[in-house]
Formats: sequence, C-alpha cells, structure tokens
Amino acid sequence: MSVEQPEVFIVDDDLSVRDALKNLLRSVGLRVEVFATAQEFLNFRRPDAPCCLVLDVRLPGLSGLDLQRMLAEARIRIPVIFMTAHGDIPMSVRAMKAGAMEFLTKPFRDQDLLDAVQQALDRDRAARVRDAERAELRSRFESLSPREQEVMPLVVQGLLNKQIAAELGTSEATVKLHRGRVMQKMQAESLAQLIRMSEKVAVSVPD
Amino acid sequence: MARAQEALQESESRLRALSDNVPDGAIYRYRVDVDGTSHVDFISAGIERLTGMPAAEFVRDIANVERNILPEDRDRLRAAIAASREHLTRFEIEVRHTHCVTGETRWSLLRSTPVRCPDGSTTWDGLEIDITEQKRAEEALRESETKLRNFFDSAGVMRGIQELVGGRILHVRCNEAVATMLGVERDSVSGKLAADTGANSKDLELLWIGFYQECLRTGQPFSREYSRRDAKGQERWLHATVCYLGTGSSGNPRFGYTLLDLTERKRVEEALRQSERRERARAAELEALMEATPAAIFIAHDAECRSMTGNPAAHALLQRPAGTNLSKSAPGGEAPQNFRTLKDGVEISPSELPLQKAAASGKPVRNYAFDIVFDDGVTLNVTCDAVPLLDEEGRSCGGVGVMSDVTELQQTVNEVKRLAGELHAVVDAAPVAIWIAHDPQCLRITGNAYADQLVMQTKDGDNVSASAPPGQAAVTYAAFRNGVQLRPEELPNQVAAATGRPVKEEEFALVFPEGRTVHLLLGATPLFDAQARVRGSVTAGVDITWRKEAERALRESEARHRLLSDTMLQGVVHQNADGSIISINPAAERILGKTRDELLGVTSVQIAHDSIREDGSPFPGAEHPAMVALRTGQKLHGVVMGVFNPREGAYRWISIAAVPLFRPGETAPFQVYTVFEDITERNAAEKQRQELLARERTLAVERALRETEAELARVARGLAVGEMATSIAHEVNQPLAGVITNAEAARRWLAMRPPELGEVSDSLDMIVRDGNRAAAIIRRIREFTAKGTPSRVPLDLDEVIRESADFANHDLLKRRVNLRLELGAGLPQVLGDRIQLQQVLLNLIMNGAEAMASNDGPKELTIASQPWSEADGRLSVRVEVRDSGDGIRIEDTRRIFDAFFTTKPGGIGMGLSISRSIVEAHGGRIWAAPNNDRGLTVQFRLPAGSEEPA
Repeated sequence: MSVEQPEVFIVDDDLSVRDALKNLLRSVGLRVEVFATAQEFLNFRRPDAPCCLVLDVRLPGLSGLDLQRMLAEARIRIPVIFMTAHGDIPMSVRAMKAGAMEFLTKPFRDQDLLDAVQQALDRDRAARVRDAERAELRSRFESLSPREQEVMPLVVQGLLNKQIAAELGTSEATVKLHRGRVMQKMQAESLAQLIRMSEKVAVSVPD
Repeated sequence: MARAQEALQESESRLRALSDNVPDGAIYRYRVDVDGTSHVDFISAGIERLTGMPAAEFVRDIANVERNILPEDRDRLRAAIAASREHLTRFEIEVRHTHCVTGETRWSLLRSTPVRCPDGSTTWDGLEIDITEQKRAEEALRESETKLRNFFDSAGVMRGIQELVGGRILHVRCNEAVATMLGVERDSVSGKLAADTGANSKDLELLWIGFYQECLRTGQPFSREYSRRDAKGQERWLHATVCYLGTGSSGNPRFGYTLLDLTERKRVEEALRQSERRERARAAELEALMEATPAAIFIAHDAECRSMTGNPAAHALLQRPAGTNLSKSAPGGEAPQNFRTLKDGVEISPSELPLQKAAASGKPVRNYAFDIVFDDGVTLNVTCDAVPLLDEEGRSCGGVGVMSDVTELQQTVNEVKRLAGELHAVVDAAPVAIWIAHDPQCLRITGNAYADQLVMQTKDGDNVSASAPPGQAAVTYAAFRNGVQLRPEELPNQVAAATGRPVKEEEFALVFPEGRTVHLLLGATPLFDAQARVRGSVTAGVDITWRKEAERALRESEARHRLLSDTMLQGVVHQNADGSIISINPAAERILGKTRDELLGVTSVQIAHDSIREDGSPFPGAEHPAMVALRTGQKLHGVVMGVFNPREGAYRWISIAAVPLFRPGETAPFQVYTVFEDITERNAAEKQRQELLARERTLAVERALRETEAELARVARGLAVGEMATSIAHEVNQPLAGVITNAEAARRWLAMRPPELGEVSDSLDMIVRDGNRAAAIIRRIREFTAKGTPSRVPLDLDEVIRESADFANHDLLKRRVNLRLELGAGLPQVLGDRIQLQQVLLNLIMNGAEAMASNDGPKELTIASQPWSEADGRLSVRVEVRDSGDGIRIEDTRRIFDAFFTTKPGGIGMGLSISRSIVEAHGGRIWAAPNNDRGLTVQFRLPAGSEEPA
C-alpha cells in the first residue's frame, strides 16, 4: 500500500479559477495538479495515492461530464467534484446520478470546496484500503490448493467435516487436514473470521 | 164374632210383633179426624231407636211427634200431610229427628198411603225408616265431589269434559282455568254446545272433533299442540291431551281433556331461535370478512401459539398453503420454514413475535413493526397488532393478530425523504433566487445560494427580511415597483403570507445602499402548515437586470433611429410582411403629398394606381420594390417611379431602395424598409446633367441606405445584448470566483504560524490580475452596448483578437467549437476603433462557427495574425479567420461582402458588409477564399501605424 500524500486534480479552462483553486488547496497542505482540458488530465500519469478530481462542467473539447463518463467506462474510480459558473438543474442531476460527490456553483464558499475535497479524499482513502485488503485476501485464497479451495466454501457454509467429506467423496480425516490448512493459509484465527474473509473475497471476485 | 175378634187381635199382635222387629224403623197408624185433630193410633217400638222417645209417648201426646222433628222440617211435613189428606195421595218425605237422649240428628223416610174412613177421618198406615246412614254416605260423597272440583279448578292446567253429540261438541264441564281462557262464566257453559258459547271458532271445533275421532279410532289418549286466540285476543300455544271416558249419561261418547299453556315456552323458544339465527348470521359475516379482508389475520388457538390459523390474506402474506399451521412456535416441524423474522436487522425468536407475546402475557401488543425475510431474499416490512383471547376465568387461551404489509409505505416514506433531499439540492442549485419566509409576519426570511450570493450579497442563513426586528436584518434595501417605493408589507412575500394567496409575478427593483440596483421578476406563494394555516411564504425571483439594461439600450437605440429618420431628407417607409405601412417619416409625407394618418395601414398595392413608370405606363402595385423585396427576400435599389402628389396635383419622381428584414432563424422577411429620394427636378433638355445628378442622387440614396444599415446593426446589437447576458455572467463569474478563492487562500496563508508571506503576495497578485480581468470584461460590455463615436487610437490587434475570442468563448463552447489562436509575436500597432474592430472579429468568428454547425467531425476555428509587408512596401497586419465549415461557392466569395447578401438561413446579410465598411474605413481591405480541404478563410489587412496621418 502506498504511503504517498493525497493529491487533488483540478481541470478548468479558466486560468483565474485554476490558479485560485490551486492556491486555496495548497494553503491547506494538499498537493495539487492543474489541467486546462480533460485531455491533459487523461494524458497525465496519476500517482498511486488517494486523490480526487475537481472538474469544471464546461470545458473546451471534452466536457466535464464526458470526462466523468469516460473515467467510469474505463473503471477508473476517482471521486469527482463538479464546478460550474452557470449550473442548470438537469446538468447537476445528471452529474450526481453518474456518481459525482458534489456539485458546486461558482462562486462558491471556499469551505464548501474544502469540505467536499476532504470528504472525497476520505472516501478514496477508504476505498483504497478496502481494495488492498481484498487483494491481500484474494492472494491468500489463490495460494490454496484446488482441493482446499473446494473445501473452504463448504466450511464457510457451516457444514461439519463429516458432511463435507460426504459432499466431496473423501474421508473425514482428509477434510480435517484440508480444513486446518485453509485456516492456516488464510491466516484465519476463527471460523467467524474465515467467513468474513470469504465474503470480502467473494465481493471482489465477479460471480 | 169372638173368633173374628180373636182373629183380629191375633193378627194385630202378630203385626205388632212383626213391626217391633222391623229393623231400623217403625210402623205407625196416623189419623186425622174430620175436625182436623190428629192422633197417633199406633207406633211400633222401633221409633224409640230413632228418636230416643218411647212409642207410648207419641200415642199419649200427638205434640211429641212435632216436638221430635227439627223445626226447619216441620212445615214441610205439615204441608205434605195436608196435601196427602186432601188428595188422598201417597206421601213420602224425609225429615230429621233430634234424638232426645243422644241429641244427634237422624234422618227418617216416612212413607204411607191415606185411607178415608167412613166417619170422615183419614188414616195413614205407614213405615218410618231410618235413612241416616244413607244420608251420611250421600253427604260424604257430595263433600268429596266438592273437593274434587276444587282440585279440578285449582290446578294450573285447564281441564274439562266434553261429549260428541251428532257431530257437535257439547261442554259437559270445565274448570276455572278453561273458563278464564275462554272468557266465559264456568257454570254458564256447562251443558252448552261449544258452538253456542261464542268462544270458539268453527275451525277450532273441527280441529277438536278431529282430536276426539283420532282418540276413538286408536283407543289411546291423543296429544297435539295448537294455537288459538284467548279471550283477550292474545295468541296462546296450547298442548291438548284428550282421552275417551266412555259414554255419558245420554249415551254420547264422552272425553276428558287437559290443556297445557305453552305460550311462554314457545315465546322463549322463538327468542332462542332468533338469537341463534342472529349468531349464525354474525358468524357468517365474520367468516366472509376474514375471507375478504386484505389484512392478514392470525388466530392462535392456545396460549403457547402451538396452533395458529389465518385467513387467506395471512396465508398469502407468509406464502404458506391454506390449512397449514402458521405459527413459528408450532412443535415438531410443523412451523413454517420459508421465512425468518427480523427486527431492526436482528433475528427475533418466535416467542418475541407479537401474537405469541399477547397470547402468553394476556396483554395486547400494539403496532409492533418487524421484517419478514423470505428464503428468496424478498423482504416485507410489516406491523402487527395482537390481542389475547381470554376464557371465562380470564386466562389466555390464544389470541388474534392483524398484520399489515407496510413495505410499500416504507418505500414511499424513503422516496419522499429522498425527494425532499433532492428538492433541497435543486433549490440550492437553482439559478433562480428563492426566499423562504419562516413565519406569517415574515420576521425571518432566508434565501438560497443564488439569492444570498448574487442578489443580496449576504451569507447563507442571513435574515434578509425587510420586517426583521432591529439588529437582525443582514441587509437593508429599498424596493420599488413601477418607480414607486414600497413598504415592507407591500412586498410579495408579505402579501402572500398576509392574504394566503399567491402573488403574480411582477417586476421589482431592489436598490442597495451601495448604489447597486437589481431588477427582479418576483412571484410569491404562501406556505401552509398541516392545519392549513399560513406559516410563511416562498418567493422566487429571476434576475432581469441584464434584460432591463438591454431594454434600455434598445429604447435608446430606437429613439436615435427615430430621430435620424425624422430628420432625413429621404423618405422612409416601414412596412409589414403584408405590405401594410407601420410608419413613415416626415420626408415621405412631404414627397408623397399624404399625411401619416392617410398612409398608416395602407399597402403599396393599394396606393399603386397613383404610380407610373418613367415611360408613363402604370406601375403595378405588386411590382413595387417593397412588395418585390418581401416576396423575394432580396433588397432592391435604384428603382425609379412617378408618384402622384395630390397636394401639388403633379407627379413626383422618386428613386427607391427596399430592404427586407428577417427575424433570426427565419427565411421569409417579416418587414421591409423602403427608402426613397425625390428626383423630380430633372429636365429633358438637361438630360446629361440630370443623369449625372441622378447618379449622384442614387449615391445619396445609397448613403442613406448605409446609414440605415448602420442603425439597424446597432438595433440588432442591442437585441443581442439580452442574449449575451448569460455569456457575460459566465465571463464575469470566472474572475470573480478567482478573486474570492484567492482571497480565502491568502487568509489561510496569513493565518499560518509563521505566515507564508510569499504565498500571500502571490495570492494578492492573482487577485489583482483577476480583478482587472473582471473590470475589463465589464468595461468591454459597456463599450459594446454604448454607441461611441469611432475613434482612431493605437491598438494592439492581438489584444483585440483575444478580447473578441473571450467574448465569443461562451457561445463557442455551447456550439462545441474549438477556437485556436495563432497570434504572431511583435505585431505593429494599428490605428483604429477598438469596438468596431471587435465587431469585425466577432462577426467573423460567429460566421465561422455557424458555418460549422452541421459538421459531424471536429469544429476547428483558427484565428491567426502576423505582420505583413504590402506590395508598396508599407507595413500592415494580416488577420485570418479559418473555419472547417461548409464553405461557399467561389463565385459568391465577392458577393458575401455585399449588404443583404446571405448564404445563411435567417441571416440578414449585414455582418460581412458592415465588417467591410469598418475595415475599409480603417484603410484596409477584406476578402474571402475557400480552403483547399474544406471551409472558408476570411482575411483582412490593416495598415500599421501609431499616429493619425497628417
């Protein structure tokens, strides 16, 4: 997991706004990167750190909403805060429906933006922790032998060794052995812990 | 004789012996003489047993006979003797003696037949028999009969005896109860035919005859229930039992009957039957209700809820087949397994369920909400009311529960909450000012973000009420409507709250102490609480300040236009699409010889009979330049026409130009301007000179036309101001946002320990830059909307290009046009009018953007500038505007600069012509050429220079 500082990306075609936002966010100790167009942002290589995107709705070329859609399609998960100098309701509804964190109308109060940014970063941070945890559990699960991978779901379902043995057509002693290894490899200290792990792994694996 | 005497004596003594031996009686001879004296000649000894008096005493004294008889019997005896003596009839009488020894009364029967003797006396030889025992027996019998009758009468039952006499019923006897029921005297009916008592109907008699015949037929008692009306007319139910008693004294069959009164019992039975019927109906109703009700009803049949049934809705709710046990507490696998019960996400045990609790505790459970989660994941939110069922001892013996599915209700509640949240967001995001008055007196009014930031310039939550208590209002302002200042209670929010009615939208002006004026279109609606009392109001306002500005500009422009047309020497006529005249100027009145009033509303066609061509032929109205311009959409000029001036009685010759006007986006003209000059002063002899003059005059007309064009351009520009308002708001907002945000950042940098002064300084620089930018935008707007005199000042053309690009930026974004600036470094300055040159550039930019409107691919617009050396060596600046639009035909490249030539639907063909006028006025030139690939490039060059040529 990365220990890098959180970073805020700003995309706004207006120099005044761009500079001002960078100035404000820097003043609360955040790292800031600014872009004049959506394309510039797409070309930028983002660091492995919690981040969020402050995005003007109206941009030359790709619009803010286009960019939001593209990010979603590319499964790039980054919290988006929208800004507009002339917000209309359908547009804000569209943005919020597409998962925007916040929709700010210029000129907005600095605290509103800072709150929104902080919330977005917190959310991203939490999401990254969850991702990392899932990845770790996934790799543990993948370290299980195929037979152990078969045994684990049955253990989690609460079946007794005898029942698992009947299910898999093997002996109870063998099941007991597999079960021990599953607990050991998954680093689970109790059945309850193993159940929680299995839920998390299942969530991160499609199907 | 002696023998005869002897024989007689012997016979007498035998008789006496015989009579002395008569048991219980005596033989006597009683004699009454002619004189009426009576004697007892003889009486046997048996009399002493009867009377206690020796027989000799009766013979000695006749008075002893009467003395011995009870006084009340004496007269009867005397009368009987007298009758018997007179008629010589047999005499028989019962009399009572008083025994003179024992004092008891004894009965004797005296019997004898009288014999008349020859001496006239009458003699009775008779027998007296003691009949006391017989009398006593008779009396005992009578007494017992009385007792029997008393019994008969005293019994509650009705009894009686009747006989059948030749097909009729005869009352023999009945007891009192029967008589009461019949309403007759008991004794009066005895021996009467039933039909004659007046108490029985014919039908009833036939019924009873039936009873008796049945009884005769079977030889058995017969019973039957029947009903009849009693003496009071009340219906009585009776149970009759009849039995055959043998034949009566007259040989008729005799019957005894007994009647039991069943009326009360019947009444009770009937009441019972009715109550039963009601109960059954109620039970059926209840059952139907259970079947039909959409509410799920559960019935527990024991306090532990081991068995629970339910109505169809209950089975449907739990997805269990009919007839199955619905209790989660049911023993031995009977309990339903297809769902779980949860409360607040936690599984609850069966004993916690409301019906179980009610049945176990004997207390009702009200409004218990929980969730039913089925195996397929479907979740129902339900609420349950349960009451225990109690037995006679007050112990619980089960319960009834009613469960309602409130899932949809819950979802609706959530949806309403979500909508409320959305509404809140919408209100804050709305580009409309919204104020809410929180009380009927409007003491506290707050606004949404737009109202606070853009109208009032207050902070979120500030009270902006004009009626706020002293010290609580965050802002003061004066409100005007139609120029009249309003009191707080006349403001829409207060009017709506005071009247409880919506206030229609009207225009208001708010003037703030700092001199700022905001024009608003305000409408208000009252807010009501649940009891329909006014609790405040909502006021919505649209900022129409920019529109107001635009309207003012338009009004001024119109006024200028009118002044110009009024002072022109040329005639100007303004007509509608149908040719009707809207306005004419004084010059036109003079030339045509007609007044305004005569001409307004008249069409060119109608006045055409007064017009001739140069060769004297009539000028058809349809060919009048105004009508041609309207029909073709083309402008015309130099058309010569003779018009008859009725004042002068002569034709005046005019040279006419007609200009059609188009609304944006429309291809048919909606109005036409006709401008004409009086060219009457021509002389055939001086034709050469006249022609020269004519040409000059044509030029003058064109000049006039050009002036009109310029004026029209300004009108159009004035109209555009309104549309540009949004663009301007956007343009100004950006630097303003920058200023505000930088100021906040600067404050934060300053607040650090130690303060980051370098950052503060940078922030201030940016604030100054953004502030200047905002100021420049505002200045440009003012310059653009004001009609300044053209000036010649040294200009940096790149700066003009950038300003124009900024100005068009909003529109270009909207049209998704990408604008690229390729500005050459170190351009020489040019002398010119900034506003006019901006107009040229804006024109070219917007033309380019419009030309690309139908492009599917990228919409690229490039503005390039560079220094240029003219062929004669003079330095100039070249500007190119390149688009990738549809382009135009090569033969049109020259014509596009002609006034009123247009290739765009809805264009009025003025932009490029104005642009050419401006460029040429600056000593430059402008032209267009199609690009190699696609689109068009328009170029202009302006001579360099920083000083006005001498």
